[in-house]
Amino acid sequence: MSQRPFCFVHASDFHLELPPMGLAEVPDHLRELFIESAYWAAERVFETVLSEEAEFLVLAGDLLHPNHTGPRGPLFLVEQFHRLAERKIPVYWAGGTVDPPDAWPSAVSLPENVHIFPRGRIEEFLHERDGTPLARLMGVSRDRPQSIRAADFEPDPGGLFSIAVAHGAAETEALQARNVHYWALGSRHDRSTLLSSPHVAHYPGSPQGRRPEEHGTHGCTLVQVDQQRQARTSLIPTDVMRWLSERVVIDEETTREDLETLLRERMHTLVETTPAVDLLISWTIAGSGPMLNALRRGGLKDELLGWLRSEYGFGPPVAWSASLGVEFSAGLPPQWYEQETIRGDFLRAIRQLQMNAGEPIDLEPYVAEEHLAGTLGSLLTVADRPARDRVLSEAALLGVDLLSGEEAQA
Amino acid sequence: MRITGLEIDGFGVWSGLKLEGLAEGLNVVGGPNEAGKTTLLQFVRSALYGFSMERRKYFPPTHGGPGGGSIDLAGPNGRFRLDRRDDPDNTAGNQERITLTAADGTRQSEHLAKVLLANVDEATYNNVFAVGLREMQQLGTLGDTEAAELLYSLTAGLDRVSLVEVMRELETSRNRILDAGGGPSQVTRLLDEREKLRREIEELGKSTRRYGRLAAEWEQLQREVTRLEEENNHAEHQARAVETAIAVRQRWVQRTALDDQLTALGPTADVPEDAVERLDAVNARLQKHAEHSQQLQRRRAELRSEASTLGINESLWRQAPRIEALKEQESWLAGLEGQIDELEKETAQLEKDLATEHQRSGLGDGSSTASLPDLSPRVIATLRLPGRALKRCRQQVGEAKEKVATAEENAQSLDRQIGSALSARGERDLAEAMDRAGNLAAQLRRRVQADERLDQMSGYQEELEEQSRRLVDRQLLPVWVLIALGAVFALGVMLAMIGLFTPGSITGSLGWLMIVVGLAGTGTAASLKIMLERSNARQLDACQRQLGMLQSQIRQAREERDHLDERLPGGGSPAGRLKAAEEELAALEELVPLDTRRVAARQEAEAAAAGVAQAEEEAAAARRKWRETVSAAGLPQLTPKHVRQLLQRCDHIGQLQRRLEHRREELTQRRRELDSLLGRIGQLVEETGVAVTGSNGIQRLGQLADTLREQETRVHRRDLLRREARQARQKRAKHEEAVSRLKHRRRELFRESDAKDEQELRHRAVQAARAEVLRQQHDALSREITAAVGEQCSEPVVRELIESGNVEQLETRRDELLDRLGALEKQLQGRFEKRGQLTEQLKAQADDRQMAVKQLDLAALEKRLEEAIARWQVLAVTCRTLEEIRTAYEQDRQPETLQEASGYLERLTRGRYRRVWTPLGEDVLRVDDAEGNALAVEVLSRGTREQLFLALRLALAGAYSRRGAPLPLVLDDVLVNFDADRAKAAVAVLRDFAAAGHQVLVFTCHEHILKLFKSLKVPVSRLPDNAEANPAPVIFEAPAKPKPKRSKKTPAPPAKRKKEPEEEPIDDEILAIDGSDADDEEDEYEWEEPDDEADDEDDYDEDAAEAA
Repeated sequence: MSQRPFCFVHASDFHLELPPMGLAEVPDHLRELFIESAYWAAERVFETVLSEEAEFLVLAGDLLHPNHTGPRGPLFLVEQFHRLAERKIPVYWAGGTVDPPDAWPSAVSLPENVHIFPRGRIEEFLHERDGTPLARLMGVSRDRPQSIRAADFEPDPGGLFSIAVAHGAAETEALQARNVHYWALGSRHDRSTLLSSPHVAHYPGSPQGRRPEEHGTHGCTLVQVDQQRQARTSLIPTDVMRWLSERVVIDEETTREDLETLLRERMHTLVETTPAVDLLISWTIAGSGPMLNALRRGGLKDELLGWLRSEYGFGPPVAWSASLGVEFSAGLPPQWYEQETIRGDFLRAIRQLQMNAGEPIDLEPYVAEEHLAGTLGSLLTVADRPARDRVLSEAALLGVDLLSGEEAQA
Repeated sequence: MRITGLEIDGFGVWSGLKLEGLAEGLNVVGGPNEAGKTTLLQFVRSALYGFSMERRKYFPPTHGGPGGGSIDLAGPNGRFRLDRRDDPDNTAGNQERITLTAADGTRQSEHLAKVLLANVDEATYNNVFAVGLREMQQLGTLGDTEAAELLYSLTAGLDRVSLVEVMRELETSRNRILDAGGGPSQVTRLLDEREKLRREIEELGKSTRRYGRLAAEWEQLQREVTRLEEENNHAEHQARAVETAIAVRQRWVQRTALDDQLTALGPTADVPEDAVERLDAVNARLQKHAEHSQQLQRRRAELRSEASTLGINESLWRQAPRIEALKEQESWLAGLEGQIDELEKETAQLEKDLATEHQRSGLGDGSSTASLPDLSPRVIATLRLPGRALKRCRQQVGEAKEKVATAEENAQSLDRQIGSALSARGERDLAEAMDRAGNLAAQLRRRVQADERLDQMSGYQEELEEQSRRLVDRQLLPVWVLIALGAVFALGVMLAMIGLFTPGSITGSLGWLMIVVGLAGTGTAASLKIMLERSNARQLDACQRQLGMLQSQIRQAREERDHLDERLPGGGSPAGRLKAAEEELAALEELVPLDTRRVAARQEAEAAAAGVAQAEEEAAAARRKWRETVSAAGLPQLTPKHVRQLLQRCDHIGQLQRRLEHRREELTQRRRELDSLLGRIGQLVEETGVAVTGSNGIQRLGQLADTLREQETRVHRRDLLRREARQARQKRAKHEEAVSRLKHRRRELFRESDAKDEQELRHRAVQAARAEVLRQQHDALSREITAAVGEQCSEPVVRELIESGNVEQLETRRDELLDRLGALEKQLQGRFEKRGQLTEQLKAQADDRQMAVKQLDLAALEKRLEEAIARWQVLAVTCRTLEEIRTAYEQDRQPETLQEASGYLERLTRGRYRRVWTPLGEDVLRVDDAEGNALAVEVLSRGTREQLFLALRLALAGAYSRRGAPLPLVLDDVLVNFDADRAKAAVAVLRDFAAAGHQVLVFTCHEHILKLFKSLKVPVSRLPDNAEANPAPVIFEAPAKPKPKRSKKTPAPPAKRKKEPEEEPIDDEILAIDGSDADDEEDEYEWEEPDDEADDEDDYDEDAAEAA
């Protein structure tokens, strides 16, 4: 028997309680955008459901932490649920880490079109249209921080289109072993697809990027099911501001004017490409040459950042330069490592630490006793490998700057 | 330089004292307190450096006579006597008179004295070489001397930045972010702000619970409001019903009366309202339709009679389509006759042309095709392949011959080019010539590179030498700097003097300020001068080390160059020879492609010759094959060309024959078609019975068509008459139908009115009209009552109220209900107000964005904290790494002087203290004990401190000696505070130090010290009584041959020794003599307040007594 075609919307990780992060100072004209971005993006998800005339909305957890949003968050969601209820569109919601079913405030009543999957056990809903079954939805709210147990999900015995809704990490092989047509997953803030054919396992990501690492387009996923029960996913952008990571390469001949031209051209391209979305851009200047050294030591970097912000940071659309970093991949001259100087000794010592990742870096002597005992102690520790690499490479450059005098300038 | 003797004419307590025969090594002089030892020390200083203000207190001599004396010196430049006399009149010459006399009696320049003293200044000499107990304690007085440089200058590479400065800068930055001492800093400030924000967010988080409470309260209130509204509605409804009942009561009574009248009238028949009018209309229409029907019946009979009188040929009319069809083919009939004529003419012309073509080809008269050869496509196909093969083979033979000729010509040309190039260089074989040229070029290239390297190093050496010269020049500070520093110094002194000596009445409270400012200026100028000089000396030292390394590298490069010169043939510069060799090699390399092409050309010519033979064989075979094929096809032995010509002619004749056959067939076909048409026309004439008179087909066909047109007119008239009759019949039928329908409608009217006939119907209509009038009046009253009741209540309720009582009772009930309504509205108003307040509060909480604002602030703050910590980590890692480097420097790159002093200290303290060192960037000393603890000098006990200072003096004297300033060491009772063990060790150390080539003069008043020296077989001399002038000369004994444990020439650095040196055995008796002098009973780690003043006073008293 063939499947009746239909479509639904899959979204997750609204995190209404979290503001965008990654800026040490939020400019005044962007504060309103930062405060409201999560809500506006979530509202666009519901508008997508209505405009696409979707059969239902699947929410895969982490929509909000009610205690951290205040009453505003739950009331906002209820208002949106009511909009769907007016069009008789049901909502299937599996709780995540921050929004287990029992966290929902009792004072705010959910409309009847919202179906919440319980915690710790799988519950099933049969979705029908005009009395004809369209899909079987199975789901569970997250109980504790553990991976999704794919083996607990049983597909429809009659071959009806089956949708599993869950929040958390998942093993691709385990999902593939089950005959579930669509895995509606949540917990990843970036969009990703674990399986694409014949069955689909998909994380739609957060509708709004919240930090520079969550760059690119964010939104919800429109899932279209055809007669052969094949699901096809497509991204519907919902973000109201977008983090971008841009890399500009310069060379030995590049002057400040050249660099400004490169940045200006890139900025124009970005603004023309996405005229309807405000942008937050993290710049990385890479390559080689004296301009790179000048940027690395500050001063010029701050000037360029100030120029970019004043030139393009006030829109519309706003293209705010969040940061301007320098990628110093060329490395230091090898002969510096061989010199019998303090600088040579310093660089050799740093290289030793870089090569022996197991050798601890003890910074406790520089921390007061009372700070060591508290949370600050753990914050100050150079814990993981990426942090260690970053600290050591920056320390090498700092040491070279301090110990080289005028040579390094040259 | 060493002192061989001295003679004091008059200096303090001494007059006429002579010391003769001072040994090269250790000289010990004993004498009781006030014996004049310190005076003797001061005389040595004075004799060498002059009578300073401080030492002029020894004048005039106690016993009178001229002040001054002489000192005998011996050095590498010979023996000299330096005579220095007090001369108060010589104000230009510092109130003294100096005479330097050589051993031969010649008088020498005063500057030679400085040469003898190896340019060691007085401050250094007084603090390093001629020291008493007081100077021993004052290590700080070394401050600006070269000796301090020897102590505090670490070998810290050639960096042009100060590691200490860098670390200080890093520490400042790091502490600004996070203070290591726990003080306020950026991170702690951010942490406080974060904590505050978190508390605020936590407090705001409770708003959800508050919202829940408010919402529950609102729900409760809402339920109450609903209940009250229901009660209110009920009361309002009742009041309205009572009001309505009062208002409609009169109309209600009238309507009841009408009901009674209608009941009395009884049931009325249901006669339609317009039944009588409709009956009249039906009767009129029925009469009219009956008259029309009779008129139409008569007209139809007349038309049928006229149609039967027309005469029509039915058989002709049936054949009308066939006649029309043949009429349409009339033009084709005429065309067929024309075509037949033209085809007959064309056939005749083609027969004539065919005969002519046969005659031209010589194949006969054209009457038959049997004389043509068989050149069918099959035969042509069999001939085509052999023909083409023959042609291709002939072309291949031609091409192969051309290739042979081209390749041979090319090979010969290349042969000539290579041969001429090699013979010009005197070579025969190209490969051998290239090997030789390549080897020569490689060797010459190495030779040129050696020269370039030497040039580079020479240039660098010159730069270093130039830099060294500049640094040497800079050892003396520039004049403007000296002037500036001197000016500051002089200004400072002047201010201090003014402050000191100007009466307070003039300077007021500024006197002390001027003193302080003056002293500060003086100190600053002096410190600056010392720092600048020390910095210049460090740079010079580093430069000279680099120069030494470079010279060694230049030597190695020269040796390599000479070795290459031996192996290479001479003639010309290496660069020129290298260029010539490379050109030669390049020229030979250019011949390699020519040689390769030559070999290829020869191989190509050979291959082409083989190809010619093969192509000729293939051509002969193709020719044989052609002949066989022609014979097999039954053709004569023709060439392919002849076959091609014959084929073209035969094709043309065949085409003519085919056209003739085609025309003949076409002519026969046209004749058959004409006969068929004429037959069909004749058959039609017979079947229709029409009389025709025409002879040919076209005329007969025309007469038939004319007869048919006449018949067609008659048929048309008959059809018109028939159509009119049919219409009359249809109209009459309609009228008959209308009559029937109207009769039926009249019967229906009777049935509707339930009447039997027309009369009964008219009676019933009159009764129905009266009942209708009564009902209309009743309905009007009902509408008024319904309008008055409205939607607020129902008529049964009103009826119940009207029937329940009179008007007064109803009005009383209405008033009660209005009172009840007023009370309920008051209650509702209160609830509404409270609900409004709660709604406002709920709305305010729902719209509250404070939480989001705080979360945003917290996120930004977290980012700042993260950045600060990341920066702190970088700074801390940099600090940590630099500190490790600093520790390594302090561990492994200590000055040689301190390393040597560490060895002496270890021996002097019998291993209790193993190392003396200086931290990087600080002019202070630290001492490591046996457990490795680093201690400041200040925390050491007095005795240990003196042992440390003695070790430092010995190391410094050794360092000066190695630098070309081997000055005699004069020690005045410096062992007085040593305990027995350490005194014994000190004596042994002094003995070994002297044995290593240093002259040492030891003055002591302590017998146990003298005995210790004696026990080591060191001759001891005693000072004469100074109470008299001109005492007997003191003649030093030659010391016993020393037995040093180490080589005399190379005193091994004591720091490298692994175990305690073996000391000379010293009698226990000696050690027991004066053990009370050793006052080192204090804890060596215990802090001691400096008691230098007391010591100074003691020494001063002694000195003063001696001077007196």
